[in-house]
Amino acid sequence: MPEIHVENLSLHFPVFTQIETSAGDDGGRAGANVKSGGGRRRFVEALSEVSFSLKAGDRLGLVGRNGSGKSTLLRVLGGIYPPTQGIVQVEGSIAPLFNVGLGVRPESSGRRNILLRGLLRGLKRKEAEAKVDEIADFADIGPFIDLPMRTYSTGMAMRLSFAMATAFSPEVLLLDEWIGAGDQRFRKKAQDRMNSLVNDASITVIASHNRPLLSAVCSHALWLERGAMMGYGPIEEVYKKVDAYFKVGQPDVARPAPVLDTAISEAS
Amino acid sequence: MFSGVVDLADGVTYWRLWLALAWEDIKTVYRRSIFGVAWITLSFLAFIVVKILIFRPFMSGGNAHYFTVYVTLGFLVWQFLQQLVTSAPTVFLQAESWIKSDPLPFSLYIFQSITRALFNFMMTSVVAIIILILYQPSITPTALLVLPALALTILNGIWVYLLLGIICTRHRDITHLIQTCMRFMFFLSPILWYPESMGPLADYLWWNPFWHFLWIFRAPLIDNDPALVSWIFCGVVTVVGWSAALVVFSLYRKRLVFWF
Repeated sequence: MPEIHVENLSLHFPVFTQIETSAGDDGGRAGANVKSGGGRRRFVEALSEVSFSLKAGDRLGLVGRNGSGKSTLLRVLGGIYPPTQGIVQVEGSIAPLFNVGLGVRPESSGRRNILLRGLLRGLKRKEAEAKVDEIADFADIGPFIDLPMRTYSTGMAMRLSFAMATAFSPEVLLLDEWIGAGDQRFRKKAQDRMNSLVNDASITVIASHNRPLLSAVCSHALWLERGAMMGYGPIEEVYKKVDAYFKVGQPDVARPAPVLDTAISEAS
Repeated sequence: MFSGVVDLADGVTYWRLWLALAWEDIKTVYRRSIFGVAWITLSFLAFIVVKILIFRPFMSGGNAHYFTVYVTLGFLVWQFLQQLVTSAPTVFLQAESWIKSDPLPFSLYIFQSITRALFNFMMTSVVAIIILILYQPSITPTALLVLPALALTILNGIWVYLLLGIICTRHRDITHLIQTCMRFMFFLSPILWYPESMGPLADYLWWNPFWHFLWIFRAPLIDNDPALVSWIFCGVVTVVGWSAALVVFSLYRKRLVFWF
């Protein structure tokens, strides 16, 4: 059975590039905090003291502004970034889907990419080949299956990536933002697929700004603001908190003012 | 030391994936060309023919056939060594999109790159085999030593990738330094020249490791000589290199993803 256990997770990104920092107060701008840790070492505090637990069947939505740490948290769960502090335990086979075009070969055909994805998931060649038709069917890309992926439209590449990620019965599905960007037909399909995965007792974590999508798919939500947990619980309750917080119009005063914009925390 | 070994062992189990990825790499380079991968062989053949036509007249008094075989084998092995050493620094940078999308062992990308280099070596050795048949009729069973020599070279390739891959992802200048060094190492290695023609300088050049990796391939084929001293030299390089690489790789492997 898949399981996720996160305790006091903090993540620091080292900053190597020279960055210009403004001395002025930029108040409530979204983004992470840049800190100096003695000497010339600088880092972005992308996540700080995040804790939560998920069990089979849970669907967690990550909410928060750009640069709040949603994507970073997904990547920590996916085993891409090792935590600086704290414990991260993820049981079960992981299917990460962070960006379209990540982990595919643009020069290779859709068919070859499906094959590679199958091998990556530990399948034998024959087993991976057997999956091709099913995946191509779901992605609805027709004859494009034998053309290089660089010739695909964004929508086609997205559908194929999603189909590949979900086809090999993953136990932990990690989805970033873009899943809410497809057309209506694809979103419906994707939602059905995610629901069927939940019935197979998997865990899904989705980061998105798309409130209707998250409300429809997720049972719980975790709200991040500059890398810190601002709320965690049933999704409607979390959204209520978010609304209340932003209605007051008071940007988080308890935390030090950020000196870096979203772009840098995303780029590192 | 331990996490690096685990990464390597995990990487080996993904052999189906890195073989497929290496083949995609090769196909991408030659896609939509008529001769396809045969270009690897053809271009090496053309290169060798031109080199020999130009340099043969300078080998006054020497045996011209011997020189032809000597230079061909020298270039064959040098190209392989050079591809390994110059691809190693960027091995993780080129895999960035995969490293950031899937939690896979890093050694997978090393095996992928070495497979690609080995494929090129195989394709170019066709030319060397033809030259050997034409100009070197007196091959003895000692020649079989090229097989363990190839294995030892690949084994050394792995530590070079582990070490340079990690260091150069963090410190990008080292990449350029290595490319620069490889350019003159070509002239400091016995490829176009004989050791005896270098006079006292040869005593210094002997310490160049490329010398010995060239020698363990070439000596058994053209001199019927097992090149024992060079084998010992290469053996020491293997042990020292692997030790250093495993320490560095194990220590910094987890930080790699923050260095892109």
